[in-house]
Amino acid sequence: MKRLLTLLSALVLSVSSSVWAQEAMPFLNAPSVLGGASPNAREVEGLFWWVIGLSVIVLIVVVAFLGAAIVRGIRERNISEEPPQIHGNVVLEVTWTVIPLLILAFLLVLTVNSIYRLSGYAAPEEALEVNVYGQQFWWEFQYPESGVITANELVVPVGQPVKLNLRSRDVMHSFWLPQFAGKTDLVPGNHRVQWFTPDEEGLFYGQCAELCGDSHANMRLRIVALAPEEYAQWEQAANMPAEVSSEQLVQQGSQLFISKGCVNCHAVQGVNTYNRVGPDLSHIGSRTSIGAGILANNHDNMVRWLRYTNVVKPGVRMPNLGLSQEEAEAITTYLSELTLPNVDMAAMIGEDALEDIDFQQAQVLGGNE
Amino acid sequence: MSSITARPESRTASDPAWWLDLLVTVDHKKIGLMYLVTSFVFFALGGVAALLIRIQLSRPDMEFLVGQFYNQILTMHGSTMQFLFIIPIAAAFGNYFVPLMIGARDMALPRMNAFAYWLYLFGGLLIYAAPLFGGMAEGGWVAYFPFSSSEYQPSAGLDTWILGLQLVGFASIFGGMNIIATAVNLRAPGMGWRQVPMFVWAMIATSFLQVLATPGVTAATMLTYLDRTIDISLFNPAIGGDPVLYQHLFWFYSHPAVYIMVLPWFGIVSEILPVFSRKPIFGYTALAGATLGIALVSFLVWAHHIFTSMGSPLLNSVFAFTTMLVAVPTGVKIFNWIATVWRGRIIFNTAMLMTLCFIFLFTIAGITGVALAIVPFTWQMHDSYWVVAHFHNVLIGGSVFIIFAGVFYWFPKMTGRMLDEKLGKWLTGLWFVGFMVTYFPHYILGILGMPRRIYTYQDGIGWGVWNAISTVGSFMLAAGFLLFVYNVIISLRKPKNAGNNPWDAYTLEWATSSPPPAYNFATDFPTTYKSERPLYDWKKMNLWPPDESQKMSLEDIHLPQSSYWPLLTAVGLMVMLAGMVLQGAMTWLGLAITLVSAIAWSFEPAFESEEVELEVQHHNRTRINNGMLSTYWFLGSEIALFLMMFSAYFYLLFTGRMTMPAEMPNVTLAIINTTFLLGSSVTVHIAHHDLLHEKRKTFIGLLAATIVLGLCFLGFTALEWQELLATGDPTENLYLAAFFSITGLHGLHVIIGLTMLLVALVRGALGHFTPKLNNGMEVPTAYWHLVDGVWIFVLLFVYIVPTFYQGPNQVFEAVDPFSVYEREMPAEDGAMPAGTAMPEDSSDTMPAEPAEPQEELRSIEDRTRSLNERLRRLREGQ
Repeated sequence: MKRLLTLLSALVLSVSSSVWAQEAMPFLNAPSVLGGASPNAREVEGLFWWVIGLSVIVLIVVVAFLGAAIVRGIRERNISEEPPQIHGNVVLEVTWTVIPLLILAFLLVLTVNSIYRLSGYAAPEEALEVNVYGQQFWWEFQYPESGVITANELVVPVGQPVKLNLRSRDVMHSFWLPQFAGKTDLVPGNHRVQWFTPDEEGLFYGQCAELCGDSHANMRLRIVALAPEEYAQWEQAANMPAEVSSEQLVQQGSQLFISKGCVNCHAVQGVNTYNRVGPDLSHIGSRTSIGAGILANNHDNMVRWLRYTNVVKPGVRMPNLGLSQEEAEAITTYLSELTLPNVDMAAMIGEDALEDIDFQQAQVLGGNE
Repeated sequence: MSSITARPESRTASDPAWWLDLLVTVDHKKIGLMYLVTSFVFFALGGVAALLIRIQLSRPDMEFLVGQFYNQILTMHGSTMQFLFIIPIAAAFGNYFVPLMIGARDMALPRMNAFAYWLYLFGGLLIYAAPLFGGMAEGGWVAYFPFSSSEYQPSAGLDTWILGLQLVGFASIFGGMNIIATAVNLRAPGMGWRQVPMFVWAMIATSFLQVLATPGVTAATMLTYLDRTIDISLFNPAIGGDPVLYQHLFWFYSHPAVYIMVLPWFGIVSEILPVFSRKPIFGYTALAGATLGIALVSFLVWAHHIFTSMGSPLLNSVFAFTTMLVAVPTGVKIFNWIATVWRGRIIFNTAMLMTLCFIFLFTIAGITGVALAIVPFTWQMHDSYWVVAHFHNVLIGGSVFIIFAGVFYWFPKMTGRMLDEKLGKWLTGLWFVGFMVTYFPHYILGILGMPRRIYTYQDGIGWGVWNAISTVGSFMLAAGFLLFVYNVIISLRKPKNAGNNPWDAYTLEWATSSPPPAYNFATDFPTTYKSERPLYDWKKMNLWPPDESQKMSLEDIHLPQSSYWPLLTAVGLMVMLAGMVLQGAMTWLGLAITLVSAIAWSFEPAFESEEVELEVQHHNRTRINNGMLSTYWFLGSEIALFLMMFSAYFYLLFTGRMTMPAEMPNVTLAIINTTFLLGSSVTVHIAHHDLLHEKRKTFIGLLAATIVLGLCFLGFTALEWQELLATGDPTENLYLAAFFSITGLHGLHVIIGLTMLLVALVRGALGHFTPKLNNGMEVPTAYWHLVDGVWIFVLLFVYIVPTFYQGPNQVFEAVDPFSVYEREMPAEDGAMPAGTAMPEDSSDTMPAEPAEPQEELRSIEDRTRSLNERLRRLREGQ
């Protein structure tokens, strides 16, 4: 009893002090697998509640009998005679073998049914296909039907299933959007499929879930689920080059983009769509994050990303180009103008969603001015 | 050195120093203690790694331990805790107590016992010496491919890890086969299988797993090593290999491994609960059966670790079924344990308290494991903190709690002193609460979407508070462990007055002094065993305590003598493996030390005279002598190893990944070779037969003929290899990679077998063997038969099958029978589709020239294929 109380008070204390010290409501922002944004995730959640519910019953039975045995043992601890020397009971053995078997058989039926319903194999015909390529430490998304190529932020329409063809370009990775579906590993030499139907608009979080190198922790992704009309707008704009102004800093940035060698890895529509070693930057200004989801896309973060790439993201494939502050500012200004033509992503995503998930990432890992 | 007659316990001036004694001892109790202390040292090291991880994760965006170094620390944490702590510490208790509990004087193979310990220690040291070799492994304890290839981990850290692990793996196999032989052969007269203590059953089941499953990780890691060193790979996707194959091989061992990490502790629970409830274990037969059942089913569930990467609904369903099945015997155990405590007269000391905590915590662990059998739930929770919570729940809430309980239970027996109970209760409280504070937040974090093996997470995502709580808990665990160490230290200072049986326990280890003398028992035990509680039953039958007539004279007791060959052989192996990491001459030095030591070991008689040796080797429960019984189990592990290789081969063949080279191996030559080998089996069989019938000349002659035939086999193999290598490249062709891996492994066994036969020839010529005592001939003969038997299958599977079946039709859609997705097939021009080619070098490509002018491209596939070609050209151009 005393131990239980100590435990409870320890828990209450730590939770409340942490809550007071830090985030107000720690659950809301987390990409929880409960309360998902797709019927796929909710089906898994249903299975979860089944197994937890049944398990809690078993746990209660176990704790009850164990507790009773302990309590009786405490009460009778001064009795010196030998307790009844019972060796076993066949009926009990059979009972507590058969009942768990029945419970598990029930769970197995539910499980196998869901496996076949949720496997990539069962992706609906009308699904929007996206080819996903994972590599250290970012994601490339190619939409074969529309020809759009983008990176790290997957944009999908609500209400239509999306079928992801997952391939790796180097080591094993794993594509996980907890609020939409279970994860699927990207295995080099293999083609895996994952599907789900987003049915909630907004901006959601995902992450690589298979240790893939120094910056596995930094291989994150985001998914933007838009209303179908908004998605259509996005899709159209995504195939058009950004219009940059002729402002001097922007033009300087655009020239540095080429002379410093950025163009040799990064495609930008209207400049170069051939070199795709790194993420496509055609509309980088419209993305909510940079560095594969690790930094909010704002001016300061971009400058720091450009200047201290390998400190922000250890092991990153992008070399440190030794940019000066002025050069980085110029390129950043240029990049910030590479936006989707005639599309206001922030408005489409919505202020609330942006606030929820657009974590204050002003601080960069390491790296000083 | 020859054996010694037992003598009273007092030390004399001529006794060697204690540390020198430990280097050469073969006493199972001293070896057990060495395992115990070494394991706890590794536990502390692994624990420090854990604290570093928890500090780093306590707040978002910490920069305390990041990137590559973080990955290395997490790899060391997992590898240390599993391979260097939990598995060996079971060997500690097993070595110490299995012989005592069955009334034996030592293990079946005392020198092998010492050898296993030294292999463990040196393997662990080699792994920890990795930084000296230029790096550390960084892919987690699972070392998945291709991250484990030299492309992504170029330093020698992973090579050191792989090779160090081989030593530890062999320690596990040798320890396991020794325990089985001991339990089978050395049980006291009258102790039938239904009277064997539960802990012994647990160690037997664990040993089955150690012997038969370890080859899985041997195959997986050694194939990785081949890829890293000579580019021969079954996993390289560029030639059709499959990283998932690595996972299958790895987990085929690593799932049974987690039962190796848990079954011994189940056994100890079944020892502690009856003693401190003052009643028998409830359901002895069900528990023993459940233990064996768990061991058996544990071989059938491995793919539940790769539900997210197999891509096969069929396989997922099958393994969901088997995984749920293994929960049933585990549940049976929990219920039987509760029934044991039910209406018992409970004694609430530390050992019992920790065991009661275990029942509660382990039930929760089991539940979260059943949840993970729900495949779609695992699709969410795999590689998340839910899994981290689950396995720490099983390993800490389960295994470590009972490790502590076992120490508190058996400390009096091992040292003659009691551990302090007050400190013990503090330990229990700190660990029970500390465990929950550390790990229950992890369940929550898993649900909240936090993946594992990440060194940081962003502020505001909602994971911070749970990580902070968890870190607080981890320091409670650390404090508890320090308290435990302090307890041990101060308790060791007390006088040795615990007495033979301070707990009034029931099993035979309590029937002698604390600590036991070197010879364990000097009593003729009664030969009537009514149950697993001999002392309880004998007291009721007035057969205990024994009277004077049952005491044995010490002159009648013979013990195996110490030996330095196990130590030196292990040293040689460590030097050889270190040499392999360095790829230098040290390899040959190590090989030489190993050979000399092993041969000297075989020359060294185990006992002082033939009579004594005959007595020891044959005075046992089966007609099979200890050496051969152990050897049969070792051969079991060899069969398992080849089974792994053949499975890998068929996996690649049946899924259409294997392309055949232009020149296939010459089947005729192989058949000629087969006759050499089969002939040599006949000659060695007759040679052994002749030895048994004292026909010395023909024995020697036929043994020599066997060796000659074996050498012919090797010679023809060399010719065959030369021919194949002239026309094909195993680094480019998957069939050839498999061919050379399998025939190479077999060839290695031929060389080892021939070496053993040569030593037998020399020893035979010197007259070491007699018809009744000839382990030195029996063992190589059995080994040779295995080598020849395996060859038949090599011939069939690798040479003959491809002559009529070369995989499913590859011209169009090759469909993997286990999966429903088409695999990546090369296009007509031979180019692999985008994303499947392994890059040829690791240099970052920063082409100097600007982009080529854009071509008119029709489709995404065209564009990406074109990109691939361009990338390849760019890299070649560098």
